[in-house]
Amino acid sequence: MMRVVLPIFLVALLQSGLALSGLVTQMRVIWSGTEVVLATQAIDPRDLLRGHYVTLRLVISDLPSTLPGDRPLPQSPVWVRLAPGPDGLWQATALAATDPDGVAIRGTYLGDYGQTHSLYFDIARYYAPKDRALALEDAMRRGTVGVILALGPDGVAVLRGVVIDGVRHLDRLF
Amino acid sequence: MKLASRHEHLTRALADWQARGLLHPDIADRLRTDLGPRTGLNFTRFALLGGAVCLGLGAISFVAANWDSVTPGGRLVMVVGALWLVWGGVAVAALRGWTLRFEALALLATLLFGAAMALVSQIFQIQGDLDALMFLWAAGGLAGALIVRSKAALALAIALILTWDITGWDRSGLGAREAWVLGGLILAGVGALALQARWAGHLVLAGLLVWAGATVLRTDAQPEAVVLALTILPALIALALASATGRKMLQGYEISLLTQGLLALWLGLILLFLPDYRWDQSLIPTLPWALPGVTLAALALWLGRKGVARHDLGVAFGAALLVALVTSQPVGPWPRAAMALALTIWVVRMGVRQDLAGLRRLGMAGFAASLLTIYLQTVGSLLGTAGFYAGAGVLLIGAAWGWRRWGRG
Repeated sequence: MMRVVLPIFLVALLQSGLALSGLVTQMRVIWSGTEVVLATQAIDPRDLLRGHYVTLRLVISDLPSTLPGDRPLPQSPVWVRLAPGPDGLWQATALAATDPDGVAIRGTYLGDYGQTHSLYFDIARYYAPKDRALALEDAMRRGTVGVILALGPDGVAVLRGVVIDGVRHLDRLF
Repeated sequence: MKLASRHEHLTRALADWQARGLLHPDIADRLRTDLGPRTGLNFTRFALLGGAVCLGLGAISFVAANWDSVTPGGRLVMVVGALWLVWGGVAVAALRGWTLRFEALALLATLLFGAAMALVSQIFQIQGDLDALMFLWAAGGLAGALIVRSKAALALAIALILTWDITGWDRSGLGAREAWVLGGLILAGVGALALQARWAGHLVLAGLLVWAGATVLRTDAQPEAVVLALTILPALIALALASATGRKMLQGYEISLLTQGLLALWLGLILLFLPDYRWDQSLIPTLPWALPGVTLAALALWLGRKGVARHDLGVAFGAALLVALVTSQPVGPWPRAAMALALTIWVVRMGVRQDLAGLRRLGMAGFAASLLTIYLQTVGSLLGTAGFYAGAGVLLIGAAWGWRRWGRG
């Protein structure tokens, strides 16, 4: 009996482990990271496997070339140092090619396009039911929407929720 | 009026022949035993199956309708619980020897594994692209199928590998993805052979063809990869021939391998003839990359040296050498076109010699397609086309005369 059941048990364990592997990093950053709120833009598409989501584009994806700090090579990692702004949204204060001290978010440096640094952050989707996704998109048109992020010590960002019209909507953990 | 099944037709015929004294009762009983009981889907089974499917769909719809009001922890428990529940069902089916249910549940579990990953990333806002999800799904699915020895899950895992490969099509150059795909397909191929899984075998072969096609089709592909991929094909053809007439190492899969290998080789040669994919990089020493294919073809020739296909094995070995030359050397387009055309003629010849109608048809279709492709490519410089066709015609008529004279046609 064990000869039949053990391999099946191992496969169930392996596949559960793979399915939950992303969750471990997620929880580590959420429980031990620093919370920041960043302004974002959004549109509402749909994923075949994961349902409705809002595509996010952090406002700090385009930064003025006058921003102090390093100029990394295109497609290499970049850290954006952050400081709280007057409206509760955090602002970019400097660029760094290596992990700096203080609060910083990690991204990829795409290049310097004239007056602008272009960056990519792996915070691209906010999954929500269709009505909430559409409401979020509506709110975007009316005013500023922010995303609540937990930042790990290495600058890795994990999405925690959204701020709409100054009201925090934090996702439940469990 | 009732439409009779094949089983009913035979049962009635046996009773009739026995009643009319045409068939001895003992023989009729033995025939009935051989025929066995009537199998297949009866109405009760259909009703049970349909009911189970409806209940399952009802449960899924109920959960989906209330999904947003379930806490993330609750959703996680449901997702992982469903995966374990189905794997539990697989264990029960395996213990009781229910083959069909075992395969169906293993297939469902592999599907659920992908759904679980997608849902976990949705529930917990885990970022990451579909590409990474597909890779994990394919890798986990393949491992699961091989460990529990499920043919259906293996076929699904191969389809996932191919989907992952195709969805990454726009990525330039040959890199880690191609190595992973090839490795995965070879592993799945070994699994298909071990499990005698015919569908999985077909998918592996189709996948290898997609892989080889993608290797040749990329305009930025390395010449080494092209030579390696194309010389392996005559070797696979030789291996299929050696197995078919020898120890049946491929367990009845020889004709499929032979047909698909021939088709892939012809496509590869024709693609290299077309102007966009010509290979004339004389300074790159690519000939050593033909060594694995030529060695494998030589091994197949040695294995089948005493079999009835030894002549064709010799031709396959010669084809491996010639393919190595026309792909690795700056010979221009015409030798490649000639190789493609010669290949189709050999296929017809092999079809006649081995009495395989499918091969004959394949060869004739390939012959016509070669002529058409060459004609369409050379419109505007008809002198070259005329020379090529005249040469091919003389060669064919000469070969026909030779076969007739030596009595082997």
